[in-house]
Amino acid sequence: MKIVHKKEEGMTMNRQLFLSMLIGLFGTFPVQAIDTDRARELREKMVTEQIVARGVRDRNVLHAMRVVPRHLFVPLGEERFAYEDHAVPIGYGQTISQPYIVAYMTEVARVQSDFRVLEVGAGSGYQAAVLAQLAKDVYTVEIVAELAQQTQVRLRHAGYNNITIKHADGYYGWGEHAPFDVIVVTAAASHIPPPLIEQLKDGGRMIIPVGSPYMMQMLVLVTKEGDQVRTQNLLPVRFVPLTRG
Amino acid sequence: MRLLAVDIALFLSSLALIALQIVLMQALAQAQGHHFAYAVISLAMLGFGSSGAVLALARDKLLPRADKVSQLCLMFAAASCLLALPLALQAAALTDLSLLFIDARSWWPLIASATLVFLPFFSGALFLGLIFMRDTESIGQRYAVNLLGSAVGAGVALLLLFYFTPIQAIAICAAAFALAAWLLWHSWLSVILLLGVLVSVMFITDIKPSSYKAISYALQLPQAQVVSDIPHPVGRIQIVQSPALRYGQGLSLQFRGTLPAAPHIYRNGDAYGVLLPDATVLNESVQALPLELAIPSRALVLHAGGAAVAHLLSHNAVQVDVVEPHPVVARWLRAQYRDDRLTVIVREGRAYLSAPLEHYDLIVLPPQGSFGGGVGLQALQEDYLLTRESFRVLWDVLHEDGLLSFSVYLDQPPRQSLKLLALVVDTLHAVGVSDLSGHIAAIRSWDMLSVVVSKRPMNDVAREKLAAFSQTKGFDRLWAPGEGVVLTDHFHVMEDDLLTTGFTALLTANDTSVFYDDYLFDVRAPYDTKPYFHQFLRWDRLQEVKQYFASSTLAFIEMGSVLVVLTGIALTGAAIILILAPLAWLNWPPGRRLAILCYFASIGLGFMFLEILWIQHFTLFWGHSLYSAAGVVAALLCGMGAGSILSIRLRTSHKTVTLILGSIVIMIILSLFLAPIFFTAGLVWPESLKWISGLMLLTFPAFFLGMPFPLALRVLNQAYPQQVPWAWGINGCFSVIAAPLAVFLVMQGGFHMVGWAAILAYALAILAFQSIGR
Repeated sequence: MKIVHKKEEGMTMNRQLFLSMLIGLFGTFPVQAIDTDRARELREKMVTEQIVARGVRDRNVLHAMRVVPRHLFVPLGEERFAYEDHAVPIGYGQTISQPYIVAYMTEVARVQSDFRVLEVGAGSGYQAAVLAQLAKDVYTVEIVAELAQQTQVRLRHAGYNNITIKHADGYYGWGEHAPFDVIVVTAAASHIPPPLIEQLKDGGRMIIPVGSPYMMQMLVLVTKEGDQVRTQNLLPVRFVPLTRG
Repeated sequence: MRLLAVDIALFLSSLALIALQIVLMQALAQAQGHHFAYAVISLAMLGFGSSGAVLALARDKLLPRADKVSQLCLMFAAASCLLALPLALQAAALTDLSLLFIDARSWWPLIASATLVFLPFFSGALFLGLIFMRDTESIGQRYAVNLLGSAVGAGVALLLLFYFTPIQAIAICAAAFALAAWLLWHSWLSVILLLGVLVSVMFITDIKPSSYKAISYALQLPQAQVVSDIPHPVGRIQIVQSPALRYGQGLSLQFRGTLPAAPHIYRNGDAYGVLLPDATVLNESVQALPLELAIPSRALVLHAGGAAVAHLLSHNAVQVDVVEPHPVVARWLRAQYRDDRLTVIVREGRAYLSAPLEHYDLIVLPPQGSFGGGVGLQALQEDYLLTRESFRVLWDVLHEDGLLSFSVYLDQPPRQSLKLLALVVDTLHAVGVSDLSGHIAAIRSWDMLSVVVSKRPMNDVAREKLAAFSQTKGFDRLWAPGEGVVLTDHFHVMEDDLLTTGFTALLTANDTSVFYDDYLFDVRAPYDTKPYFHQFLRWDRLQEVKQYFASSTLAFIEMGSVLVVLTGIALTGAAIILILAPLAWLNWPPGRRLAILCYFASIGLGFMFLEILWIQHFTLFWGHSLYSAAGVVAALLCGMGAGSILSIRLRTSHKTVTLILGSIVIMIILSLFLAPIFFTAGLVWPESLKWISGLMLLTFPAFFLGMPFPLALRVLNQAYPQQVPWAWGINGCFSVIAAPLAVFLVMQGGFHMVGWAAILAYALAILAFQSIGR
């Protein structure tokens, strides 16, 4: 588990990161929390009633959703909402997506065990954790420095060692690890960034919610076959407006 | 001397109360959105009504202490402007409208905001009511001063918004209350409040808008900065720049280049346009379709905001006329694109089309919508450019071989695209075109649809250009002229075929009404009398819409309409609780109760119906809803002030009141038929003439509208004095209900429906007065 920072950020940012790390360790998130029978029971219910009932069938995805302790990825005091059928705010104007949306995007991505996956918009790290159950390596980019730091701490405590997180603008993807078999964008974008298309492997799949803040957004599947790029509209969704172009 | 101080205080507080309403509309538009504008009017009315209830309950305790209480009311109004309204705006900005339908806790910021907005109106109105109650002998004079102050307040609000941010303008309104209090009682508290205003104006200049506003999104981008911020009554213009702020709408996915960063324009925090330094990237967008088919020698861009202007100017030898209604944006366009081929005209598009300088080879409409479809927050926004009447005029402004072009974001289910096509279809039918297919070319990318309409049928050359362009860029041909739907390549797979079936039905069917009747949403072309292009909800198809969206909620697709209903219900409840329930405690004394209820409810409803109707109507004439709100309110209150002064000298006989109410009814009927003729003729007049004629036209009926309330109050004061609080309360309660009800009626049935509702209300008032005055 490693974290990469942009070099140009100076001492001020480092101090902010340190403070936020402290908050991450002792304040905002229950990283010390453990999985419980009650949590497992709620997760099983979530998978059955919210995910399977809506048509997600991939057994690996369902297993990942059953295994990842979602309540560890919501802020302290919000755990009771972790397994409910909606998004939960995680601070910084961000949310952890509705369980069904996470499962649906993961299923559509068709992740295999040898895949290299890029996630744009790490948030609290939940989607990355689910993807990490299925893929070989997950690279995730988060533009909010504090969130990137907290998420790094949380994922380390939760035991995920195949996730690498970077604080950067996800619009440009992560060129040094490209090409990717799958790109999952969890932040709504106004358009499909050309750099992400560029970093998608031939035959790769990208899932991206596109649209405007406060509007309906559409989950779009982008596939790349040679020079041809095609799209398929999947599902109207509403993500919290995120902080990047 | 003391009388003069009271009158000045009355004038100042009335001025502040109306100015606050106008300023708050703008402030809420910046904090959250335009959709709460009418709720401000209702909350103000609620303040007036509930203050009447308090006066009725505590009349005996308040009257002996009227001087002291009135000063306290004014100081409380000033303090609540300074402290409560900034909090109210912040609470409104924090409200997540879509979560209202998911999480009950999301209501709290909204309720808190409404409660805080209510406070200055309640305390200000309590002051007015107390003065009216105390000075019954000179009620006509006091009422006149009140109305004149209110009329001036509307104008003052516009002036404030030219030079100050809304939050500063609110502080200045607080100063008016504090000054009024100081006039009545030279208290140090008033001086402290005035100092507070000074500090507030200097240091609290802004509030953080909703995080869902486009500008909030932009400002979180790396190195984002506001490079220009200019207040204006028709919308504050901010220009934001960031290396990550790019414009790539309708872009081909075959494009592998770099999107240039471009400063974006925001009006009241909403995306308004873009200043593209390099528009060549738009050659890779569906928006390039008209230029792929033919390079015009003279083009007109309506409400462009920037992108289309830059794109046209990137082609040599194209003369570009830009019609931009916002003067600040027009200045930016001139500064950004210094080119002899560019002419920027500051006018509403509709007004320009009525008196164009030229005829054009190409007319480009502004891009519509947002990808995936909006949540319907614009449903209440009038758009006089996108009406049947507007398109008929537009067609005449095109050369015989000219092209009309528009781009629209793809929404699901298709609504905006089909409604725009419906406007085209209606226009083509109206000018006698029977075979529509040959006049239309349409392509789509994954996010955007671009449509070109030709005045003459397109030929094989155009068809070949269309095919080549779409194949190269990876666009789907949604409609090829003379061929119809050609989805051979199918680069972009939609959820269903509703768009293609809609195009086919509208462009080939003999009777399009079958399609309109069957379609889930209202995509009929709008008229000037119901200019709500963005309203799509059909209440008769609610169940089917819910089924279509399955797990999603209705709120996501037409929030504007749903909000009107919800705020209407909430405000009705609040009006009953805060106005009528306290009065019920007093027991309603016998004596013409039914007649009093009917009369004061009718004139409350009737007046507010007219106010809302005229605000909507004059938006076309004066160019913006805020100008219209200020102009209508000023003219109505000015006329009513004069009317109420005259009413002092009138006898309160049946004949007099019947004559006045009858005149009002006749004037409303006449206005319903004559207003469209007046607007059509006057749209091309100079702005000054439009304002003078409009204000004069409104002042005349307002003169009569100012009489029914004071005349009936005089009758009650003489015959049933214990009924006065009830009359005040009933009038206030129904005024609160009337604002959202009027908006709902306009949206459902157009201007005529509200007009006739007002006629019915005043007719009922005639009947009711026969009993009161007996």
